[in-house]
Amino acid sequence: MSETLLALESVEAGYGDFQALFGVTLEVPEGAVISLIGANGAGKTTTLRVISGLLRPKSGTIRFRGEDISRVKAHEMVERGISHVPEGRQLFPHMSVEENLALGAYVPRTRPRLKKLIAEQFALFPKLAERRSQIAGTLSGGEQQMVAIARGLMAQPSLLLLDEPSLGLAPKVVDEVFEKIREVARTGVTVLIVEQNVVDGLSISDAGYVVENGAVVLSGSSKELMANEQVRAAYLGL
Amino acid sequence: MDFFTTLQAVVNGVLTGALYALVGMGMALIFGVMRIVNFAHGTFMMLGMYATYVLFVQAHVVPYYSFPLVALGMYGLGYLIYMALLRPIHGQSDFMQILLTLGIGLAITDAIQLVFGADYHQINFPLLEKNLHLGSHITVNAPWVVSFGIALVTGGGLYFFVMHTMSGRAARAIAQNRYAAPLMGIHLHRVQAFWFGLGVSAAAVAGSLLLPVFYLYPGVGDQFTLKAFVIVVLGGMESIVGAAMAGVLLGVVESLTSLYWGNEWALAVDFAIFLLVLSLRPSGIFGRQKA
Ligand SMILES: Nc1ncnc2c1ncn2[C@@H]1O[C@H](COP(=O)(O)OP(=O)(O)OP(=O)(O)O)[C@@H](O)[C@H]1O
Ligand SMILES: [Mg+2]
Repeated sequence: MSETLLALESVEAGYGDFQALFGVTLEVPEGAVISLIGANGAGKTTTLRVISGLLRPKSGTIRFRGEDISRVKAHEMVERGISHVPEGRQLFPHMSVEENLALGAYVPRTRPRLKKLIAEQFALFPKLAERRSQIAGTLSGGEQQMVAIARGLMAQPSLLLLDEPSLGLAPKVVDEVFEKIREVARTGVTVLIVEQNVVDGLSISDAGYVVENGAVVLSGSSKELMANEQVRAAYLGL
Repeated sequence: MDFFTTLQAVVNGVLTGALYALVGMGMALIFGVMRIVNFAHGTFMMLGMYATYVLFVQAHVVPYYSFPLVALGMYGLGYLIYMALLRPIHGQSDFMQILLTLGIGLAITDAIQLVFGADYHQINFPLLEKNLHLGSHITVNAPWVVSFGIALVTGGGLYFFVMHTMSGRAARAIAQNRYAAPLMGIHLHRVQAFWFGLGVSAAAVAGSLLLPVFYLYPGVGDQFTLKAFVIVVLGGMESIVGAAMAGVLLGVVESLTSLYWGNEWALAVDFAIFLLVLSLRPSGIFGRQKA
């Protein structure tokens, strides 16, 4: 069994007085692809925000490579090796594709290798190479998602957090995006992916966690979850 | 009035406008990166003028040599003011930020009045007497030509820095999507403090350049805060290129207004342009229209 890269233990968090997470516990082994599934408002995005430091947990611990990172700020998390590709892409809309990618390598660890890293992304996403000078806001949804993922990879993360990469994309484009994620995972990057698209999400994952009302209610290998009656009824409509 | 008189006014307007452009670019930068309308902007320009004045009177350094030092000092002051005063109210209402920058402006102006008194000052050195003749009809005063050159280089440098360095990219990233910026590893407050300092020092450089051709008194900055605001609105709020063009345009319009209607109308025209732009095209004339 490989080592644990990320571990959340009884993490509680919220927005002001509103509590969104009621003790989330989960583990992400190094090199794995893990998915987080759950209904709208379950707390999936909040979980990712807590991991990447955008939101500070009220209690509980988050360990990354064994080290408690629950107080580390978002901008320091990138340097440590966690890239968060947020829900809704969140590109810099008036900048070119290339500039969006360049910002992904902002931290001192990667900045000196800017050119080489951009070339790597273009090799992985040849479509983006053709559109390197295009303004990000004018790209199609699928292309924007590719830029968002590539921008996250520019920081050479050891953990990539993906929040609903299939959001608003046509089925064919979703397949394309998932194929790319599979390719990324094959290079050894650990991936934690949030998906509403449960079948697609689990199909590229080793294991998954089901989140409901701010807590993990079910976990298991992707195979187990796909076979689980509860999951089939609630998320697969079977 | 003949063609050459008008042309002369346009040339004068462009020369003045270059300094307006520098002041406006500083304000546009600050607004773009941190959504703060800096109502102390003219005050910082005034402070730059006084610093230049002190260096001239005490150390006999002319503004064209002392401005880099003034710029550096004012950058430091801007950085400190951001960290000490603006950072703590980060995320609070626009109203708070308006009150705070207004308050900073008033406090600095009063402090200057306390130290230097309310008297008018002017400096004098040989270059001020020199004139350059362009053809047989157009004459320009030498200090204006020098200040135009320095403003051009400073403004151009600022533009290059914003567009082609990682630091400038980080500033634009914050301006375009402040939620995503930290996810790139961008330290919001450090970058904002840096660009606030730079915006302040752009205003101070304009102050240094204006000192030889203007009167100095504690309230001199106020009219420039207004002008900078007009320029930034004209230029599309956060576009520094827009601000630069709007600055030159304002200089020319003011100059032509003075020529045809008299000096006293220049300020009224500032206001008129301002209201016109706000009502016709809220995103500015040169700015990109945003949804
Ligand atoms: N900025 C915020 N301020 C206040 N409440 C919020 C905020 N963001 C999320 N919430 C609330 O926290 C809860 C969890 O939201 P979260 O975004 O984590 O859900 P999610 O599982 O990602 O849902 P979705 O699938 O719709 O993206 C929801 O009830 C939501 O309304
Ligand atoms: Mg979500």
